[in-house]
Formats: sequence, structure tokens, C-alpha cells
Amino acid sequence: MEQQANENTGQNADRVLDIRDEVCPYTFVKSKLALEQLDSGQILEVHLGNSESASNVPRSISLEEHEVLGVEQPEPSHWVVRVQRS
Amino acid sequence: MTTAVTGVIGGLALGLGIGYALQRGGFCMNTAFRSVSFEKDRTLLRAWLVVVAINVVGVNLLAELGLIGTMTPPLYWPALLLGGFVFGLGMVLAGGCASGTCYRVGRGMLGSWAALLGFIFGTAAMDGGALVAVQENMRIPTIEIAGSEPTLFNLVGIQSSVGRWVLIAAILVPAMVYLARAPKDRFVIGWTWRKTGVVVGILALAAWVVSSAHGRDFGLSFTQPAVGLTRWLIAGDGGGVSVATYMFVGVPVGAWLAAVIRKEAMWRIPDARTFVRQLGGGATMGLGASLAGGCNIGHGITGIATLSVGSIVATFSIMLGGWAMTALVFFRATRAAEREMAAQTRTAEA
Repeated sequence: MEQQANENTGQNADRVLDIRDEVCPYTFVKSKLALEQLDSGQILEVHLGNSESASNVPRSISLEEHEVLGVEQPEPSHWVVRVQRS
Repeated sequence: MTTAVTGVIGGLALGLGIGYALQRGGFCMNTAFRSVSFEKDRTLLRAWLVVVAINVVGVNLLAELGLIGTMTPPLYWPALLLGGFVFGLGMVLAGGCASGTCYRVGRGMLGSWAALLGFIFGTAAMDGGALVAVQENMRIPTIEIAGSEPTLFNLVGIQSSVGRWVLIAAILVPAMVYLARAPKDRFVIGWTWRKTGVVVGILALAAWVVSSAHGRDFGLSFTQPAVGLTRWLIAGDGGGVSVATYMFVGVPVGAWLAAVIRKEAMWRIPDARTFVRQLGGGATMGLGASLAGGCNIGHGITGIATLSVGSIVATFSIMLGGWAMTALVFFRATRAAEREMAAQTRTAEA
């Protein structure tokens, strides 16, 4: 499931999670668990493949008190959410 | 134009509009219901509340003016409780409720195609298929409310028009207060919850008007049209095909249009395990929906609009089923993550 999405992926990230084929609620569950495995201050990069997950995941995670550093769309149907564990 | 032609055109046009709105708004009631107990983000729950509010007011107003007919399903409580719960379990595994699955089909997600095929198969198996005895028997025990339609109005003994509107206000005012207190929108990619709620709400109400004009006194639904379509395609029996069937067919097409415009339409196939999970989830949803006589749309929007007690019961059961399966998914994913961590630690030690 986890793989390098492209060669620019994962820079300055402590973990990369590519779940572009997943839909809700698995996108949220997997992002949340991946984040909980990191130490405070570490960065998770989540790759998502649909617009609703790309808005739901950062919203849910930011309300869990983690810091969403940014949401980018490098190409159509591909969103990258960078989160710092609280 | 004959009513047959206007039914096809009106149904397809509404379906297209609804599919477009679902995709642009990312409207997923699986997420909306889950957020009540699992997430702090209630954005889609708010969108659903807007849809419900528009339809409760709209349907009651139009019915009072005699512009539409309404139909309230009987309170066959075992079927509503179990069917709703089973539907809720299935929608988590399927990766989307009935409507969520339909718009993801339009976007090209083959896992949702599996879920939709499972859903159609499940509805047909329960409704007039091999499992029809389960449906019939679980619908035998019913609760009568003062010998009339099982609505909240009759439950509290309201007969006057003024009384009805007082009850509607008593329900909707707290909901409006909750919506007015919504936090600032963040991370919006498609439509905001307000726009999504208003557009889906108006289209769902329009679906009721168009259906009623074609002799079907009910609004938007996905379950009965799925059964009608299957029987027509497989057995050649077109008796279940109605204006609602054309809406159902239009939804994925509308979602596809919205996705093409936004460059989000793309064939995607999940891994084999996820594909099978979504297929099974879809079938589970179909069985539950046909047992309960409706899904998140038929009960959760259309039925609730008439303040049908049965639809309210079914909607809560759908929520409960969704929560139960989400809890199980969380539990299993946590266990898997812990095992992975333990394995990594052992490797590091070696």
C-alpha cells in the first residue's frame, strides 16, 4: 500500500502514506493511525486521490490538534496533505 | 409531450443535477453520520441537516398546498431496525452510502462499481428475490399510530395546520441554531457545506415534485429504482421502472460530468482485497436497504421530510450500523499497526 508516489515525494517528511485508492472512512483511519505512530513534531505526508478525502482528512486531523502544514494538488486527482504531529 | 417522455427527460435531468451536486460537494452521508461519534469535523453533517431542513419545510408546504402527494411507509419496526443497521454496516465496507457510491461510480472508481453492482444485486435478492421471505416476515409486526399514518404529527396527536408548523419549528429551530454556530470553513476543495446542502436540498425537493407529477407520491430514492432497474434488465419486467429509475441512472452521469470538468474523472482500481470488501459491502447495503424499504436517501432525506417515524428509526439504525462497523475498522487497523510496529522493533533489535 505504501509506496513512493514520485521522486519529489517525501522530502522533509518522516513518513509518506500513499492511500490514493482509498475512500472514506479508510483514508481518515489510516492517516490518523500513521500520525499516532510518529513522535511529536514529526511530519507525515498523505497522498489522497479524491477531492472529498482531500478536504475531509485535513479538516478532521486539524481538529485532532495536529498541525496541517499544507494541502497541495501536484496533478489532477492527486492531493498531498502534510501534517505535523502535535 | 406525453408523461412518459417528460418522466424520462425530467428524471434524467434531475439525476444529472443531483450527481453533479453530490460530486462537487463531496456529499457523503457515510462521513456525515460517522462524524457524530468518531470525528470532530461535522461539515458534511451540516450539509445533510440543510438538505433535511429544506425538505421538511418544502414537502410539508407543497403537500398542504395540494401540489404533491405524500406517502409514509408503515412502521414495520423489525425490518426498519435490522435493515437500517445492516445497511449501516455495509456502507462503511462499501466505502460510501448509496448516493456516495453512485457518484464515485461516475468518477471512475472501480471499487465503487463493485459496491454498486453488489447493492443492485442485494436489493433484488431481498425484494422479490430469493430472500423475499425474510423481507415479508420482518415486515409483519407493525405499530399503528392512532390508526393513521405513522408520522411524528400523529404520534403527538397534531391535526391542525398550525400545530404541524409549530412542531416543524420546534425541530428545525435548534438545528438552525446549531448550523449558525458552525466554525469557519477550512480546507474547502469543492462546494461549501452550505452550498452543497442548499443545492442537494432543492434538487431532492424537485425530485419529489417531478415524481408526484408522474403518479409517484415519493421523493428521491435509490433502493426501489435499483430493484426496478434490475428486474427490467434481467427479467424484462419493466413494472418497477419509474421516474425515480431515470434519476438513479442520471446520478453517475452527472457526477462524471462534474469530475471531467474538474479533471477528477479517472479509472482507479483498488487492490483485490479492497475491491472484494467493497463488493461485499455493497451487497450488504442492498440487503439492508431492501429490508428497511430505503437507504440513506429514501429514509434519511425523503422519508424524514414527511416526519415519518419509520424513516427516523431507520436513519438512526443506519447511523448505529455505521458506527459499529467504523469501530471495528478502527480496532482492526490499530491492531495491524501495532503488529507492524512490533515487527519493526524486532528487526531493529536483531
